Amino acid sequence: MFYYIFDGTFEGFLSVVYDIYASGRQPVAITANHPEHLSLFAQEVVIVTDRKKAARVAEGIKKSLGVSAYQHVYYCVLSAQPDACLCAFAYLRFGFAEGSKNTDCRLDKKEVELTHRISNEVSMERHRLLGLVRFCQRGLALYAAISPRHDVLELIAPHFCRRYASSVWVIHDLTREKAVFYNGRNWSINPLPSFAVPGDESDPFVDLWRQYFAAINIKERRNPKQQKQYMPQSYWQHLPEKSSKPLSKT
Amino acid sequence: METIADKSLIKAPKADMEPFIPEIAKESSRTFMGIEEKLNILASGAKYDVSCSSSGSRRKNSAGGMGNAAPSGICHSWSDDGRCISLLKILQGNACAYNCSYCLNRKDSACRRAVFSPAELAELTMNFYRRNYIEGLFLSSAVIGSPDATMEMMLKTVKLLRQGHGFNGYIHMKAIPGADSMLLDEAASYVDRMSVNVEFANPKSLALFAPDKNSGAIYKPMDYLHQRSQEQKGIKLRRPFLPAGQTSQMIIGAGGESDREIINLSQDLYHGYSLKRVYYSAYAPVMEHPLLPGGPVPLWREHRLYEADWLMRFYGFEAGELLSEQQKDFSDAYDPKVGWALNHLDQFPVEVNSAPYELLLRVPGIGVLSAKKIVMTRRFSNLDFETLSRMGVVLKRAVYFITANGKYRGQVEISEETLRRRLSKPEAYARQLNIFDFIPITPQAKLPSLQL
Repeated sequence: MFYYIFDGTFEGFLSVVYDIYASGRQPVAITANHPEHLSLFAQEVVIVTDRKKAARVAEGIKKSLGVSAYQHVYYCVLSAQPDACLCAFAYLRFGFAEGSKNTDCRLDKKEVELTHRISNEVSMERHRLLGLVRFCQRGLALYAAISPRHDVLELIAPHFCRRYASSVWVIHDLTREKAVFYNGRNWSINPLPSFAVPGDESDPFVDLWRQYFAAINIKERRNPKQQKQYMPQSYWQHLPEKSSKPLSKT
Repeated sequence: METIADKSLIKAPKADMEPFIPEIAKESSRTFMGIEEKLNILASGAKYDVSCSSSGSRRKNSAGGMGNAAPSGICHSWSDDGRCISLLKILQGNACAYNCSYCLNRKDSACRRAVFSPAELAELTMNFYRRNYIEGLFLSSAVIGSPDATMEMMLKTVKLLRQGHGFNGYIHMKAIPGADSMLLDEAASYVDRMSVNVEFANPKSLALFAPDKNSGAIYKPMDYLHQRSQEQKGIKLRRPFLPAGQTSQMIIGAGGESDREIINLSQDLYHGYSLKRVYYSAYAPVMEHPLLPGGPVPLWREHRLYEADWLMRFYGFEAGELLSEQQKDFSDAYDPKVGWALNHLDQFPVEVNSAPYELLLRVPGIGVLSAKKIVMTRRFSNLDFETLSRMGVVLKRAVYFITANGKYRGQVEISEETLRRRLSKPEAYARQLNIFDFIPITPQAKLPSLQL
């Protein structure tokens, strides 16, 4: 019974997979956190991320299970769901044992179905955030704060690079205290404490957007249930249109 | 029954319509009405347009430009009425020369008037876009002066965005019926999608409620743009021609059309003009008019029409299968697919391990995703009810229409009456039976139990 601990990155997870196959140690947990209670018979294994080993595992997944399986595993590892990594490993173990690119068709298998479900949830949050990130003008740069449930920062960055290719911008994940920085050419993710960027209310378009949001609504068709279904309340803290501050009168 | 073929019912538009620009519109563009005030008036005037979709275009960003289009479309917010906000949906101006009785911006209306200059609107769009509030612009307008003058002004806005600001985000633009085809052509080469609203399924209603419009003039730009799109298919163009196609919208329940007339027309529009979407908008009274309904049309009717629309676009149903001469409207009690299944019980139950995909799609409760999952997984493993549940196939309604490995779990005989009861919304089912006619209802009285 081995309790695997890694740095929480995808490459870290792939290094774990490498070790499991190399050593034959069977995992009972794969997690970024040290366990609070370790059962009597469990043993901790701390894995240091090794890019070369990770690359070999990544190649192996793509080659024998296909690119879509690779993406499912990748997304699953970024999930905040407890045991998501163990599930992703079980999926890989099943896939490698079958050795076929049909792994994703085997929804009758619990590990496949669950991995898909977790990865779809991450994918859903990624897609949602493409719309719900709100930039505001801070000097010459655009700044946005988010608090996503899953670790999707690296999944949304390429979209905004294409879209705002000639701007300078920062998207700040307050929960994980890191941010993606784009300088007009390339992007990188670096630590950024959540208190590092103070609030600022001088952007005039924030108010115009809130005016628009109010004006486009059809009062007679109020439907808060549907609104929350598509735009869960956990996202509202960063949406100026859902701020409780009263609108200025025109 | 009226379809597109009857568009000639109405006479051609009056060619001699005088250029008409209300004083107040001139004033609004001349004086210094603030952007904020214009935004309020002109967004509010656009809110009854349903479409806000930003899908179907793959426009790429250009060097030094701003933005791109995502083929899947992206929603940026949801307003308090639960509708998605993807585009800045706004009117160029609301000072209308027409007097359509259902419209808030009609000539006789006492509403406040405003007109955006192309520069103002382009500036606003760019600033919303770079803050990621929106996916692009949905530009509509009242008829300011003449259709040509209106289209020219809208075109100016769009060209300013594309050429002046290097904007590569999504643009949906309304085609103004009656505008010159040269203007349509030019607009189509700058925007991603265009639309003309059919407004009423029956041309007679249009003549009644929108005396300045006529259905011939509505179908003309739609037809023209369709023809031009067909001609340019497969040709490499410097600027793509309407990459996200055309859409349209109908008002439901104002003109007395049946659901059957509506979905028949939708089908004709999808087939005849290759429309990407038809939107339905339950009529809500904004203006008083002796011939218009006094109260709002129930939202469930709009909902049923959307369900039917989906069945026609993704489930292989024909309009004629869903409604008939005998049954002209959908029921509040159950959705159109259940309605169809109840009339075709001889085709059920179907065996999930062998039924073709097309038939699985017709099972109530099984959607496109579930049908695909079933077809994919059954190649490798025999499906029983436990496996189906584990795969995320919702069995609540499907259970009455399927067998898995020959087993039936519906626990009732497959008869129309039992299934109708089981699959109906209880309150709507009661209404249908007119139970309230013979059971006295007091506020405290319990509803009769209808669930078996």
